[in-house]
Amino acid sequence: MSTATVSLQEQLITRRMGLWLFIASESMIFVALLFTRFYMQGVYRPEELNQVLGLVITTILLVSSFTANRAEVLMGQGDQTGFLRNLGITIVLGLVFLLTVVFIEWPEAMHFAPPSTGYGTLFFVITGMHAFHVLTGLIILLIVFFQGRRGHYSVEDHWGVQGGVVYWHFVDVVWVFVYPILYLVGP
Amino acid sequence: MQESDQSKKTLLRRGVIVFVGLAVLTGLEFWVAVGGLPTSLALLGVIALGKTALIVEYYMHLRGVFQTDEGGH
Repeated sequence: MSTATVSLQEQLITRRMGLWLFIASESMIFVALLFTRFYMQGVYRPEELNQVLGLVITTILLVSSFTANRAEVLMGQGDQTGFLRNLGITIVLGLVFLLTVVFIEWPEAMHFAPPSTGYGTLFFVITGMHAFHVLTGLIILLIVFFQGRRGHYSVEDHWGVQGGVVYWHFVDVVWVFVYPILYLVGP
Repeated sequence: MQESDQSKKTLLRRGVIVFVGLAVLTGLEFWVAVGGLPTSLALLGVIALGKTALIVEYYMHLRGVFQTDEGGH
């Protein structure tokens, strides 16, 4: 193993560590917000909340995680076309998720918009914070997509793809908790 | 190093299996919530943790953070 290869692999471990520390710190924000939901509102949930729409956008995000994983695996195998196709689908699904939340879900949730109810405050803060992370994830994936089109990544070194995809999965993991805590918990 | 054909298929198949698992758990949590089971809060927590474990282990490769394999899988 050459010195250059060892250096590349050491860099990879350092980058992964940095990303995971960042994810851990970001997670703390959401943990605090989600606990606040129970502290302020218990298990109360307004009847107007559209649980089916919540299920639909959850499914969209779930499928986008699947295609993101495929994109990463295919890049690792040198399949540039498959990588770009799956990453493109991921970006489109992420955009559909974001637009659905902003233009369908939020207007529907105006029934309990802040400051009229405590639940409304929590709902818009938590989904707003998550939507912001979806937006940043989309920007990252778009950068990865265009760099991929220019042939920036190789089978040996595609950290940009891995990092972007891991961040996208983090956005999905956050929603794994946001969805039941906001949409499903309650009588 | 490019992976073998068998390894390629295994990785892609694993992604599909994890996705199916996540879809089943999502359907289950919706059913638990709509069904209004008395223990739904605890069940929803367990299901969410199960989904997180699947994503973190198989999609985010947490266990591979310190691995020195090229390509990073």
